[in-house]
Amino acid sequence: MEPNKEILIDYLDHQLNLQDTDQVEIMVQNDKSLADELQYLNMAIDTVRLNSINDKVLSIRKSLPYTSALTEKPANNRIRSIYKMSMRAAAIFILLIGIAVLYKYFTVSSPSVYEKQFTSYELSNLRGQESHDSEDEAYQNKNWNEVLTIFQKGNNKSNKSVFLAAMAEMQLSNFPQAVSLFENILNNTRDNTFREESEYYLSLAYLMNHEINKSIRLINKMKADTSHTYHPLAIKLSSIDLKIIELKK
Amino acid sequence: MYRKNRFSDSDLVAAILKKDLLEQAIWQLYQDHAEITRSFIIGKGGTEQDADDIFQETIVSFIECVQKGKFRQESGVRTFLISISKNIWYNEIRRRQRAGNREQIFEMDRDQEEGPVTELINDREMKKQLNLLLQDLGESCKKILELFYYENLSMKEIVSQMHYENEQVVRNKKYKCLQQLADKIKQNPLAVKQINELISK
Repeated sequence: MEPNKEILIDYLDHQLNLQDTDQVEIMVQNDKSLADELQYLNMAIDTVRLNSINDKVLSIRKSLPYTSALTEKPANNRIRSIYKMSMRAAAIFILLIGIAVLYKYFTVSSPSVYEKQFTSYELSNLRGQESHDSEDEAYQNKNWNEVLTIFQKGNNKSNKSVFLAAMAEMQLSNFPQAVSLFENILNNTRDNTFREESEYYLSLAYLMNHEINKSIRLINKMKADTSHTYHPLAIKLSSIDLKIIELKK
Repeated sequence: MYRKNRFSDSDLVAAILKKDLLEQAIWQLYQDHAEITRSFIIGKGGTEQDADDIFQETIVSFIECVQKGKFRQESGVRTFLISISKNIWYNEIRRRQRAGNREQIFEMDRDQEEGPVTELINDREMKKQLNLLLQDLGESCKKILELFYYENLSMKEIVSQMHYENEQVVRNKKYKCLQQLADKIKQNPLAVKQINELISK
């Protein structure tokens, strides 16, 4: 290395004594090439320092996942807050569903479904005829015991007579007897009257007689048969309610 | 990290001048000012990557300004940083335009200020090129120059850190490396132009 250049570096490094420092400054003032050299060396030192600062800043930039975090932070907060709100809404929704399910579970029972679905069978409405039959008269007068007495004494075991007797049993809450009578009607292959009526009321009688599976089978049959007279009533019977009753069994 | 003992603007400047507190100062600059400058860059058509790079350059320029005594605290640190960022970004847009990129220019509210900021930013391209020349020197040269000129370590300390035989070896190596870098700089037209301007002043 040229001696002058070495002195210039020592000058920049503050390694020279005062006398030598002054000497270098005079030399630089009088020699343009030396002045240039000094500037290039100075620029080299600046470059080293700047690079070191840059490395330091870069290492901190990398150590902080800061720059990406900065832009993501508000988005994250927003997402987190939307997420929290959604979670709250979901929790409330689940809670309400839970309460509704529990309420349904504890309130739905065979008697509650029966009460909702059972409607008295109006003899005159369906037939549109004035009755002169004693069993009919007793039925229309809602004298259920009389209906049963007449049925038991009489020889007329037509489907209609059996049906009225079964309905009288239903009204008296004698469900096993009602079931038996309705089943007789359905088993009677010679007479097809009152079959559909019997199916509907039998399904309700099964319900009260703790024969849930049989009830559900009959109800499903009526639901599936759109031409069934009692199809409109059958579809009102909730499958969930029936399932709950089945579970409680 | 550094969550306690936050610096005021004047303490921050003092911390930058003390090398042992520099890291904490840089950390605080990121925490306090990155968001607003990043928003500005992104708002002016930059990508997130641009915003990160520009803010990094902004901090380096700010530290350089402080260490060279060019930041006189006439404005707050934030105002000064935003001013640096704007200038760097507008320069970058112009550079990209020259490079043929058809990017939209946002020169509407370009700061026309002169002074230390513009002075520092104007030679940005040259500094980048000089930095590449430093990388070309090789790792040992770069390291020895860094330890001496940035970390201010003595020859003795460098000997123990870099496992050289003795101080004279380190001294010779340092002379050689600095001269090599200066010689490379002489070949750089931007650097030559700037030196000529400086000498002629």
